[in-house]
Amino acid sequence: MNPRSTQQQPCTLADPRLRSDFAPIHYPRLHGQDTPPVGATERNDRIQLEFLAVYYGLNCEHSRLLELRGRPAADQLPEEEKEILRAIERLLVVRDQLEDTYAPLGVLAEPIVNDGFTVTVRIGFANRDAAGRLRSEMFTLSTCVPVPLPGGLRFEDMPISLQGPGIYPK
Amino acid sequence: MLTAAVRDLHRCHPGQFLTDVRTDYPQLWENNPYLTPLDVDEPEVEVLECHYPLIDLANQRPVHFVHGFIEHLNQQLGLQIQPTRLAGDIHLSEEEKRRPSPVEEVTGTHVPYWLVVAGGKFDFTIKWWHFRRWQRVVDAFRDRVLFVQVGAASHYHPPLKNVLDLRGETSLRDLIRLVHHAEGVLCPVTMLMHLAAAVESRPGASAQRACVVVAGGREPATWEAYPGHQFLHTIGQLACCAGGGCWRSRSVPLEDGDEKDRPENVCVDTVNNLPRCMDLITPEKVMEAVGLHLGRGEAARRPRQQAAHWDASPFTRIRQHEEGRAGQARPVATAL
Repeated sequence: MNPRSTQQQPCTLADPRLRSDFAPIHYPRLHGQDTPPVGATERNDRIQLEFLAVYYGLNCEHSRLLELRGRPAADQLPEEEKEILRAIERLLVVRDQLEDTYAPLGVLAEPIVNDGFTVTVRIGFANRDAAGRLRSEMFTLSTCVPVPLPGGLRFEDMPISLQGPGIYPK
Repeated sequence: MLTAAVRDLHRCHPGQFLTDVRTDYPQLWENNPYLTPLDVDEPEVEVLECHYPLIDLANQRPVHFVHGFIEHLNQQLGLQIQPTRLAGDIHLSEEEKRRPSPVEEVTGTHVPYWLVVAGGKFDFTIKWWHFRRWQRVVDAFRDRVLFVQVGAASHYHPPLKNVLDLRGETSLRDLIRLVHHAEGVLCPVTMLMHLAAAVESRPGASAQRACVVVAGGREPATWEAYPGHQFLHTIGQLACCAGGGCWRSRSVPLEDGDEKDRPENVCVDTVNNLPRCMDLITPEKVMEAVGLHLGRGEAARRPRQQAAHWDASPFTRIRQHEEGRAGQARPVATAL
């Protein structure tokens, strides 16, 4: 990047899908897109995987918390609950660091939550639009609008001036 | 800014010209008294392409953006137009002035408010300040001022908390009406800054609307700042903007294939991907600037206790408005 930058790298967030205890039910979906493959290297893919990893972690901890709080009162261990809450706090800090690091790149990661679980993450990027096109790419939209002329009239004789491709063919 | 040039053309040369415009933003020209419908095919009509090449000298000459189109018109028409006001020229219809503000339409009551822009377009990301910094400023005035967040849905505008969120919900005319009724504006260098100067205040409000601009070192204050605005810049404080604005485009490359990603267009001095000039402008500095303005606004005249009581109803309605949007809560806030 720039030689004088003092950029901080985000925490390393390993892809949880590589773990032996991976629980697919807690891995969020990406809104409107396929999840990048394990080991993806393209920048946007990597950023998506990092956010998915942190929200996966939050879902797992939330699940643990629900399980703990669902036990009979005698089996609820305050220390265990504190440990889970601390883990959640750590993950929130990592999530905030990701948001901070990638904000200048125009990255917006919005979780869509159901019953406390992040089921989908909507991630927007500055370099691509919602359809995945590079914003700098030119694209055209065209349509054909037939306008019938009154009988006996020729287009060239109309008292109007229109400009554009396909109009006034010579 | 072309609205200012057309106004000053007529003020300096009354009765000599008829003018009309072809523009991507016709809403800015609604109710403009200086426009006459003209047919470009009529032989008496001369078409001028309007530009502001003066911007290339903004670091060298004591000129403002308002001079840009004026000087170009002077060169093309052989005139001596002078700026008559350091602001653009936006007009509201009587009906627009009579209508309640868009905020009042949401809250059901008159609420003094500031507008906040916490992002911008994707072309010049170097103008962005960090969203957590905007949030800190908003939070600092939470019990004194209602901030209304605006911004185009297709641009980068991270959602702020504790604001009335009108992102993506305003037409350009709505935005002009919002500015008309606003006590103040908080933004980077963006269109809203120009509107803050150009749009007349509602009756009873200060004629000079408060505006705090987080500008950094991209553009010289002489070119961008308006009278009465707090234009927070770093020109002269860093090597990269020691003698004027750097005029670069991006904080870091976006990898979108745009020429603005070229090294000569990218910031040379960043801190955590934020331009150092923007990093130097701390939330505390912005709070101080907002606080100075608040000393003369309607919100400042409200006793604090009264404000809490008085705010209850509008803020309830704002929450209802927010719940009607598609925004999502943070997951763990629920868990905790």
